[in-house]
Amino acid sequence: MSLENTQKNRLAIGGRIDRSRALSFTFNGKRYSGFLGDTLASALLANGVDVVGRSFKYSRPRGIMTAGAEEPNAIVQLGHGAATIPNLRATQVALYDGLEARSVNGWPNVNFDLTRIFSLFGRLMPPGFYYKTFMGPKKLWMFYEHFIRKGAGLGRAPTVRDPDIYDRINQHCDVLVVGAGPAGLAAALAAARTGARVIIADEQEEFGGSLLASDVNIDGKAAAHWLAVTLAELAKFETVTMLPRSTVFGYYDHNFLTIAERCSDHIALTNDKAARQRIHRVRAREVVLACGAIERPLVFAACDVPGVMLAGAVSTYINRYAVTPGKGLILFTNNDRAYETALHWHASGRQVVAVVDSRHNPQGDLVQKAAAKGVKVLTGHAVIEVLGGKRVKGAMVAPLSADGSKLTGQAKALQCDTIASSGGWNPVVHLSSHTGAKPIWDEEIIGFRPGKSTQAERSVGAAAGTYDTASCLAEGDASGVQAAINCGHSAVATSYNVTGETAAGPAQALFLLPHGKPTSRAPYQFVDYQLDVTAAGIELAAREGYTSVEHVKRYTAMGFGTDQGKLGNINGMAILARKLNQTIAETGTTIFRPSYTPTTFGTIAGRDVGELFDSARFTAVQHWHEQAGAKFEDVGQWKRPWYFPKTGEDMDDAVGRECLAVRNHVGILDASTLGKIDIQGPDAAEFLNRVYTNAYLKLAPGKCRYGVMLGEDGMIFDDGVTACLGENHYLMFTTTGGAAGVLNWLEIWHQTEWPELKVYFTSVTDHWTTATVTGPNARKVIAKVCSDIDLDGDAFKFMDWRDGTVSGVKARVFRISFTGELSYEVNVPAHYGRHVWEKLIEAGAEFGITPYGTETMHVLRAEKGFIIVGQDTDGSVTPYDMNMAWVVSSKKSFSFLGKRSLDRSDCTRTMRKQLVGLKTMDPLDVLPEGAQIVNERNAPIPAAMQGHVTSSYYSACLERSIALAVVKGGLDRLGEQVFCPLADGRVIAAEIVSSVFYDPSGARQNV
Amino acid sequence: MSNILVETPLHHMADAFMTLSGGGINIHEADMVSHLNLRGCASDSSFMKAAQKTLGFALPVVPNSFSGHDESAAYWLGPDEWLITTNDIAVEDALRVALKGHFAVTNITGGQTIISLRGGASLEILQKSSIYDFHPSKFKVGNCVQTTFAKAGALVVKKADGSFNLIIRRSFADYIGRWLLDAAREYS
Amino acid sequence: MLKIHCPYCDEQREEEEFSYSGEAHISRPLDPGALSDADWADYLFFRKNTRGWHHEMWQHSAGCRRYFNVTRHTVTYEIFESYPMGTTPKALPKGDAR
Repeated sequence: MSLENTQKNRLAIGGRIDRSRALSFTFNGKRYSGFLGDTLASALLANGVDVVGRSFKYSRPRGIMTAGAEEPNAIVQLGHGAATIPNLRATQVALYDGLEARSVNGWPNVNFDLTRIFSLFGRLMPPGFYYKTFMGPKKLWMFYEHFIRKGAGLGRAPTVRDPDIYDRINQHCDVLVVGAGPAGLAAALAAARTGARVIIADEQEEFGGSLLASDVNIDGKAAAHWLAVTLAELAKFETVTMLPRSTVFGYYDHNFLTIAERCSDHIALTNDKAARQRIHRVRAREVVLACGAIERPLVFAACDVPGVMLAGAVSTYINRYAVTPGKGLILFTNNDRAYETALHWHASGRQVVAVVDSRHNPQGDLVQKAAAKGVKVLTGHAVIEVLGGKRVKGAMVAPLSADGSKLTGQAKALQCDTIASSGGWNPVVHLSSHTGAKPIWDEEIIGFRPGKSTQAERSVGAAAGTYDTASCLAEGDASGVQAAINCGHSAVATSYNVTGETAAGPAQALFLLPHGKPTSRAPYQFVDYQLDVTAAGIELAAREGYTSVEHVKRYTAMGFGTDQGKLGNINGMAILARKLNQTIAETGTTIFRPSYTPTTFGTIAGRDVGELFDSARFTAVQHWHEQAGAKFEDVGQWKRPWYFPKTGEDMDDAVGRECLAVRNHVGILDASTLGKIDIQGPDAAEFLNRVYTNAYLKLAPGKCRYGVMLGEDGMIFDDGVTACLGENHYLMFTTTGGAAGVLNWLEIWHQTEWPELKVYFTSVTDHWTTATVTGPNARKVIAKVCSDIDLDGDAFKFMDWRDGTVSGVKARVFRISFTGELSYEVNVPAHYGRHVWEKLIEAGAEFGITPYGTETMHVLRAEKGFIIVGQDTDGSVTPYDMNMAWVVSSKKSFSFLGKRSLDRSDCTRTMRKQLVGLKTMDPLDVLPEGAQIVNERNAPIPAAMQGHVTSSYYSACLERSIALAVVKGGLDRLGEQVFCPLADGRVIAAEIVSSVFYDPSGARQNV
Repeated sequence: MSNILVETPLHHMADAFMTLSGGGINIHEADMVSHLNLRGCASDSSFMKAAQKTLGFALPVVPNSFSGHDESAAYWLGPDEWLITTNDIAVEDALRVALKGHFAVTNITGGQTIISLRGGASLEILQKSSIYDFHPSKFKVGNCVQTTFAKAGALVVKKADGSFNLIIRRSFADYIGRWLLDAAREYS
Repeated sequence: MLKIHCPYCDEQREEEEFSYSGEAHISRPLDPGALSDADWADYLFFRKNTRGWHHEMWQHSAGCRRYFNVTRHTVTYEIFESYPMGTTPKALPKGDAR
């Protein structure tokens, strides 16, 4: 069997396909053939495939209706396994050899569908079904849900990681042109000729839009020839970027637009280096929207039977793909332009059964032309119902009153297998609408035009309701010229001479056709094909009191499908308007939002996936940590060693060992992630005095001081040590997570309130590697690697710092401690970080030096009752709440940040939550962090909450659990017993104790 | 000092960058130089003159530009802030001696590194990584800009030979290195 | 995605380089201790939440790190001007500029 033999609807000649390149593909498991240049839809039609999917609610068989982005029925899943993509429109999928596609809906298969059973009780699923069902007994929904989800689901997400590459690129241009039909091309050309940077994007496989199948001549050239010449000229400009297969799917503020380019979707075997899809994030100074128009179907009974198609789509298949999708055609129209479809069908050698025209006296040239070809034209008639199930078998045609509101005679059946339907055209106002512009109803074009936008944009051509080629070219040119001029270029207008166009006569405003029965009892008259919204459903919504179009949309789900109601929404609004006895202008339209067509998550994510999902920050000692087998913890973007398990150890074992090593011998921590801000200037001390709660004016060189920063609301915002490096020179340490926030905090006060203070702030976080050597043996370790600092306890005291040399590297050594032990924080420039770290490890070996991670650091500081901002504080606690009155100076003349708020009545009231320690009655019980605290073991629910646990660990050193908590009035309640009811039903009793569990006098750090 | 190990932030990626060479893109970490953050008042002529005398060239005052040469350069970071990169370690102390009044010199050598980006695909790689407009009509030789780079930041420099330098922070270097390798894959 | 002019870099730059910092022209009281709780709360918590033109602070956080003011329309997101700290905004345009 030759390839072509399967393609019963393929014409022998014509089209823009490459007949020398036959392609094989499968659809729902069956093998078919097509040609290069086909879409999946054109190839399926060529092969005579009628049913391509099942409808969402009633599971009716559905066929291909359109040739573009508006396709509601032919929604397919492509490929299999990891690289599968759901919810693609077959009309927009370029055919390639080996393509595998299947329908996304239709279970177990499209031709025999179990869920069709729903149509038997379809009346049980009226508009608002979901809402009504949710309001009803829950069980009913549970019953439905299983079948609805499974039967009507819109594709399946891949379950394994997508192996393809998705790219993202930022673009800037003077003029972005959306759509490469006559208007868009003329605009791009006009702008490009001025030297402007131009991007032109079009969602189709090739540029040209309507020119790809047009009979007109432009400047004496056939349309296709003019197109080729124009594209060649555009391609020559270095300043022009041409993006076919690229959908502009979002239009955001200040002319920021997003484009999804299908780079290799149309190629069978993807290059493992090249991107499959790419997002272009475009900032354009000017935008020209030339995105065309979408044909509007007429609404009649059973208008969803496969074989009912848009008239323009039928022409597209004949002219571009050489596919005539049937044998006998009825064209049903309310306008002149659709007659072209009858003429194209006739020219392809197949039978035109009749043109059914709702107008009583159409006079246009095309009407005459059709009649001259011997085509039967039934004026003043309507198709009111389609016959057939899985394919059109015929149409019920009846005479219609002049205003289209009622039937004036008996319907009769006409046999055909294809019905081309045209109710006029809707300009694609979606992108304009994304900007917030409200579409405006225009009686003249019987459609919504783009509204007024705040963006620098203009709509031209069919997107603005202009349908003849000459006017499209003229509008496009004018818009390109204007856009370029607005960007500062000088431009000259071009005029195009178009011949061979047929003038169109007036169309009739007609949307829903009457049926012999009232709408509510007629067979389904589908408006929204994807979600099975019918004319009856919209009228029911109106009867039930929904008068706003936005509410009707939500109640009926009209426009909620992946097609966003591109086909049905305007008909739906017209039907609603008539039911409400108002005009369409009064009824208005819903607003469209991005994405114009569905965009895959892979494309949106780009390369921000896996290890590149977020920026990870590492210290200079990272590779040592990895080699030492550290487990890592995320602290902000930093990866910090969490603990260093030895063989056979779990986390508790490792942390217990690390804690004991620090308390009994010596440990070493990579503290490089702490924020560090270098502060210089004559007013540096004054500035510190204003942002810290305690005093800094008298901090002498060589000394360090712990400080707390408050927000203006008096709540703790960050804490850390600041060292005086020299005259007018300080180094501030911040928390790891707070570094950027603190620097901004200093800058905003300096730049906005106190610019007169002479001080500069520079982040030096990344410059320094900080190794904390801590434990009773710390001094011995440092002594081995540092000979130029007097380490004697009296010469180099707790809270002092010294310049010196550590392992040959100039270093700053700080005697500050977060463990409560004798500690030295050794700071060296980070390029020496690994060297110094390794030398410290080497020097400490004989003293049992043990690397420890953040978990041990947390346990050790909790034993000392040292808070961690963000863990023990939550933005609602003052220094007094943290039992840190000692850090608040009342003597400073300047009202430091947050001071006034400490006197607010809420901050001075009693029974604020205060930081205390908790000791569980059973020393082995470790309270969960976040556990709530109540006063009575069997407190009736709801119990009055007394506070919660903020930090909780098992202390290997104390051989019992310890916890920090904030408890109402806690500092006056030491010795009281409280209770923590846990999620697992246990209630743990604990005693309120001091928050300092270990070495309360601080003797150990002060040696 | 010879037994002291010095590690640049991307020392571990040199081999990975090498695998790209020969294609449309060449990436490597530049040799280590001193990085100094300099603060001072641009409208204070004595400050500007003293800086110029010490550096041998004037500090740039036009936003997003740099001055100097391959051995030593000054980059505009803000109206009162510059980055000095130099292979002369004496510059730091020389500045402190020469400058008077309210100024700040801060050594941040350990905290930064420079990635060189050259080859025909450089511009596209920048476009994939940053939202700034690097088109040659806008971003010219002598320009530098601090902007977002992937989910981190960078100071991007356009050098006289048309290649680009990325001056980045140490802690983000590994992430940016891996990002560049991924973005450059299609050109290798 | 706004496009914002940084008065220090003197360029139109992308929103992702900036951080929003709230309403502009709120001065810290010189003597907070002299204020009643209500007046202090007014300074601390209450903002205009304007519908229309709004003076607000932005920081060029990924660029020059400078704070400056922007006059932005909170409905249309149009930006009328950017101006440095300590300077006075121009008279507001009537209605929406475009």
